[in-house]
Formats: sequence, C-alpha cells, structure tokens
Amino acid sequence: MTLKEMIELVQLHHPHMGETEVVKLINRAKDDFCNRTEIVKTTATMNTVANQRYYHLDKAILKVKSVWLDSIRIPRLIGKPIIDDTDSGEF
Amino acid sequence: MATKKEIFWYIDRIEADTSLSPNSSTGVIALVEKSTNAVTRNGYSTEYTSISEAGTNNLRIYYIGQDSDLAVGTLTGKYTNIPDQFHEVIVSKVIANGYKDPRNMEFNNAQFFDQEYNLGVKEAKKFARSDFKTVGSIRPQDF
Repeated sequence: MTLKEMIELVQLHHPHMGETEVVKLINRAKDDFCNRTEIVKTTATMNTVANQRYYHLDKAILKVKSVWLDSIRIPRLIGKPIIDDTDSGEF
Repeated sequence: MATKKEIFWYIDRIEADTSLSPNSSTGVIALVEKSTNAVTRNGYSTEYTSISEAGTNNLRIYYIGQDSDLAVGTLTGKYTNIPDQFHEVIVSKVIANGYKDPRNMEFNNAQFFDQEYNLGVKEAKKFARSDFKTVGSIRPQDF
C-alpha cells in the first residue's frame, strides 16, 4: 500500500487531518507495529577501524541477532572484558 | 597457514550518537579479539583487546528492527520491509488515534480500530515467528 493510499484511508475517517500530520502518525504507528511484532528482520553493513572497539548501531536496530565479520559469523561474548583498552570507557 | 583470530561481539550500552541530526540514542556494539594476556593494568589482565581488523562494509549485522520512515510528499513511497498485507493494520492504529483526538473524539470507534490493530499485530507476530514456513499435522485416515 502506498503512502497516498494510506493517507486517503485515514482521511476518510478524519478529513480535518492534514497530510503532514497523517504521515507523522503513520510513521509513529509503524514504529509501534515493528516493536511489537518484530517482523522486520534484515541486515546492515558497517566499516571497522583497527583498534576501535565501539561502533554506534543504526537507530532502526532493535535487537541484534547475529554478527558477521569478513563473512565469518562471530560469537557473542558472555559478560564484558574487565579492562577497556580504549579512551571511551563504560558509564 | 593463516592464524585463526577469535573475535567476539557484545552490546555495551545505549548512548547518544552525535553524528546524527538531531542526536538520538543508539545501541553501541563492541568488537574484541582474544589474545593471551593482551592488556594488563594495575595487576589485572584480560585476554580481550579491541579488534585489529579494518575494512569497508566488512561488518554485517543481522537484526530485528524498524522499517524506514516514509517522507512527507513522497506519495508513492511504501514500507518495503513490512509485508503488504499488514499495511492496513498500521492504518487502523492511526484511525484509532484520530478518534482519541479532541477534534474528533469518539471512544467507540477508537476502541473498534484499536481492536482491529491488536488483531493485526497478533497475526503479524505469528507471521514473523513462522519465517515463511507453513506447519501442519498429519492425521491418520481409514480407507
């Protein structure tokens, strides 16, 4: 369903709502839908830098299922290392 | 023979990403590799150091997430990661919220569309769990 079709369906019930307002509400409802259903399962790629430990995840990521480095699946570490060899420590 | 590197990941924290505009909080993933007594500090030592691997698009993360927002004005846009049959469920939520708005308040309608939304969410959860597989049971049959 395209955005136009969605807006038209909403405006059938709420003709006083403007397009911008409807789009914002649709996006908010989509976020709630994705959080509750966990229906969106996809991949993202990132660059790595030598001697850099921490990387910001995309804000669309809710749960990390698995991680691959150079096409090799790497395991999740249970717990955290006791020494942080970088400047940006834990808070 | 190439040396086998033992590399691990963990989620460290949630932190504001200053490279985003406006800044928003995102998760921070940590990548470490294992080597013997690699870091020593105040008498403590750990085998885990930051990764030495550098590369472009070499880190792939498989995740559960959100679809991208639709932009105002791009009327032909659609959610590409959410299957089409659930787009109407999202619309039900917006209609329900519209009926909770003081300009057009009607609780019965709001309740009806909320219920429609919740039923759609239930179906979508089932669909997400199925991973496009169908299941069934085989019943014995007398001939």
